[in-house]
Amino acid sequence: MRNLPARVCIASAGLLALAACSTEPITLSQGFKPTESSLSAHKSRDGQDICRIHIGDVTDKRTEKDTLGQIGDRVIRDADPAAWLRSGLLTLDRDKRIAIADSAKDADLDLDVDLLKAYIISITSDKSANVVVRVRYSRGGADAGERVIRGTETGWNWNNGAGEVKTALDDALEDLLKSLAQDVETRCAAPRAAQPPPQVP
Amino acid sequence: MRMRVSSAAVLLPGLLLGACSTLPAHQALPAEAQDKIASTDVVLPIHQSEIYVFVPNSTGGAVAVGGILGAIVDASINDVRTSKAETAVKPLRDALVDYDFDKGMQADLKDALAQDSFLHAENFGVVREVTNDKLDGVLDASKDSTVLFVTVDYRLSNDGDVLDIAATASLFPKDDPLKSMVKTASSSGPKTAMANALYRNNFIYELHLPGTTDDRDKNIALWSANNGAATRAALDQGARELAAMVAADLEGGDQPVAGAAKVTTQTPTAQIPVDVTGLVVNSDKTGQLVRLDDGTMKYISFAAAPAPATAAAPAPAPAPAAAAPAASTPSASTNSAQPAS
Repeated sequence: MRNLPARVCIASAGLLALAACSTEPITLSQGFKPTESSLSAHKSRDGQDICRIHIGDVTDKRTEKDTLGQIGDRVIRDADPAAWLRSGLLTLDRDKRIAIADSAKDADLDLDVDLLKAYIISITSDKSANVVVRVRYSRGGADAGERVIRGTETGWNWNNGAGEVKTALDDALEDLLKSLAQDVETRCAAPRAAQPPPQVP
Repeated sequence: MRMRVSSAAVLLPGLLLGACSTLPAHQALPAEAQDKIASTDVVLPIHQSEIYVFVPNSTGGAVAVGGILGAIVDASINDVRTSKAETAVKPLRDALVDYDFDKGMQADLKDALAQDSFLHAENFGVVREVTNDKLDGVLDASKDSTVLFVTVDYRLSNDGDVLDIAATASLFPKDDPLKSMVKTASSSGPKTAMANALYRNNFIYELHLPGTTDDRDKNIALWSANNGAATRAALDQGARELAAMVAADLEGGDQPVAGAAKVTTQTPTAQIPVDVTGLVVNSDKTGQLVRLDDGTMKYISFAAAPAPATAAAPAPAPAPAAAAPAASTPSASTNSAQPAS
């Protein structure tokens, strides 16, 4: 016979005596909410050095699409995780080296993004969020490589609350976006570095 | 009331210490039930999307200080330990991003249960939501005469030297003739409480990776080397062995012979590792199958994985990609371009 879960929220551990941990499912419906106004410390450069990207297809490729994990006995669901991811990707221009283009033809890089993992698990009295994507780059319609990127966030599980769950997932996506911004910038910089310097008349 | 959990610490009857349950861990399937089972739905509750490192709960605060302050102390210690464990396991998770444990476990269970013709196992499915409400709903919705739940959990020990997979199998009757055979049935609490099961048992697969030490980062580097080859092999073997154990146990097989060797074993992913004893069922160069005293089946693998290549020192925290990638060549830090299954 199974005992109570070894993983508990802090409320049930006695830290917060006010409310026991809820077990009702959590349904997330809002888009990504950034926690920082900028993604990196880099300052903007003049127009020709800004990396223009276009966000193409964003697809949920997870094998189990009906949940985003479970915290305690509380299941987490989102009606449209791909939309949540897209709303996060559209904030990549918080890195001042990056601008979001309206179409692929106006962009240095076109990004198609697959959501591979997005979940929260309970471990001890913590909760841990993981978001993993595969980014497929193209440049002028030609394949320009791909990369798998992970974002994570681990912290106290206060009371299985919906707010703290949403924040944890957003923080994990924020962590991912920082890595993605750097990867984008590196890929944009490569062709520039390969070009000969302009001839001085 | 039975709570659905997936931690090995609570799946192992040896750790119950008799304090929380009087229900035996193992309930054999009554022989007279076999010819009354017309069909069986097979459900695999698997809560996790990726492997994780087991972290024992801190209890020092509660013991030394007590009260709310003690809970704060323990929560703080848990947070530090869990954060470190989650950081440590990242390279392994990245190496396994395209590995689908659920699919393999489902396929192995389907193959193994085909041997138990009396089950007439038909539909097989994985559920990620492991709550009483969900599983009760699955039981209610089934049109078959029985539903077999096989709850599975896979993780590394806290030091990262041992991989174990724990499973609990429980068979619930839907038809009245079968329901009448459950002597411990209760009308209160979840319908999928263990007391309502016609059959139940616990199963463990364990592999101690050769070459590991008490350095978790180095151990995880070994598990992660060559695109996670050692882990993939262990999980593949573990799924096969677990499925075989479940199928054999359902029909009363895998019993130790008279004079079988005694064995004492622990489980590294237990909250409180304790010695548990049992008898060897069989042993060969690949592993040893043991039936513990409470009926739990355990397979201790000797050599599941191919010898891992010597891994480089653990990679530092991800840094911005330094090399400028060519147009068609992924950067040095790109993971293998395997499609997610």
